[in-house]
Amino acid sequence: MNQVKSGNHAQFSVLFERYNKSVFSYFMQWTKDIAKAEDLTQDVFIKIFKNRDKFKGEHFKIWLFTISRNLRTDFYRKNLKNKINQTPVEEMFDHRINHEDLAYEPEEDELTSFDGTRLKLAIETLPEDKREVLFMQFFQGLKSNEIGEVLGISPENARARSHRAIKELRSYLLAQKNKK
Amino acid sequence: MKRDKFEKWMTSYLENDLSESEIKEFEAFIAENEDERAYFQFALQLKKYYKNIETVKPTTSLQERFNKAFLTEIDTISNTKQQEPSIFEKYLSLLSIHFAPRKLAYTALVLCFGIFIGNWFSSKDDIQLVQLQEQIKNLESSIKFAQLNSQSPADRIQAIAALNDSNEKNYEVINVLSEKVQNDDNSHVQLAALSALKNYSKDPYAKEKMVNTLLESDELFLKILLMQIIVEWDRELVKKEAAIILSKDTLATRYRTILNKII
Repeated sequence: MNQVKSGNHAQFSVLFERYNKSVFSYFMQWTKDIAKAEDLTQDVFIKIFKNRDKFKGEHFKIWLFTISRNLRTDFYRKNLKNKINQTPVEEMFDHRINHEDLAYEPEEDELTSFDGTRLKLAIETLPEDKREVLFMQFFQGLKSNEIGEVLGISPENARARSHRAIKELRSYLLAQKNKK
Repeated sequence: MKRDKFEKWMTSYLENDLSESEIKEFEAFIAENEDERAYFQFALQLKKYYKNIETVKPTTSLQERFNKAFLTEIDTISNTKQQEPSIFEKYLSLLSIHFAPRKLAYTALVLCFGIFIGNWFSSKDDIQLVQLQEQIKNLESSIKFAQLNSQSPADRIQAIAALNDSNEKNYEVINVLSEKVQNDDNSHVQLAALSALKNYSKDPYAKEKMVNTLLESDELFLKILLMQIIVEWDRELVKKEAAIILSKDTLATRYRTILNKII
């Protein structure tokens, strides 16, 4: 990024090549729509290029996800304002689904082993801030201090949020098992 | 390890931030504490889930759309730079004051000022002009580099040809050409890049890049073409590599003949 900042614009294509899939996955998590996720991904990189002079030499990945996160917020805000998306607000910001609606019937020996589909459904039940922190930690491979920087919170808070998310997820899955 | 530090240590463990002794201490702790062990195992399972998650990939149009938008941005920068007024234009704008006497006064002032330091301004303008030309040259180069990442192989070949024609000889050009030779998924693009890279075969850096590609590539046709170039300055290396390839029984006769000719 420092090379781009100093005028070597060709290097920006390299950054795009390296990070576009990661940013796209991030937006797919929230929009569930390929076209929208691609639009937002492109917007992120163009915004970064336009603001290249504001890059202060920090970790590029942190800057990238901070901008991605801001654009995601803007995107939802704009959609709400223009009423393009008719999804109710609570569903747009919080993808929690009714636990009772899940066709989840854990087996006896599933205390420590849950298959991908059940984990996926369980993750969907988490509030957005917790899903986001798990996604950054385990999918994007960001560390607590990096997550903290992206979210604008301390590393300790990022770590605590991650543990709360893991606990909530586990409790939910165990509760489902006990129901049976 | 104290129980109240468990979560902090677990995060550090997952982030590979513990020292060897701390790792041992942490593992000993979870071995002895069933609840924490179960919680930790669940976190590991979650991590594994995210690692193996099947993600939808962006379509090829993303790259194309980005390239277009990026080139538009570069064009905008180029136009902005060209539209920036020169020192002379700035002085001209000073003269566009509505009152004629003031215009005259300012004209006289500028002319007097110009008599004393005209040469100095002239040299400054020259410097600005050179800088502007340099910036335009850089932007043209950037556009060519951006086109090298186009989805279309034809565009990439065109970009390589443009780089070749521009007679730009620097490490960056060698780097991008080497990268295309080594990693492009289209063999025509690889050949075009190699053909362009061949023009640098007297440059030590380019030589090093070609040798590295020869040693690292698994593509036979590419290796043979590289050997034809490298043999000019490092016959021993080429012989050694050729011997490895020739030792394979499955090697087609035509390749065997070519390799024997090279060495």
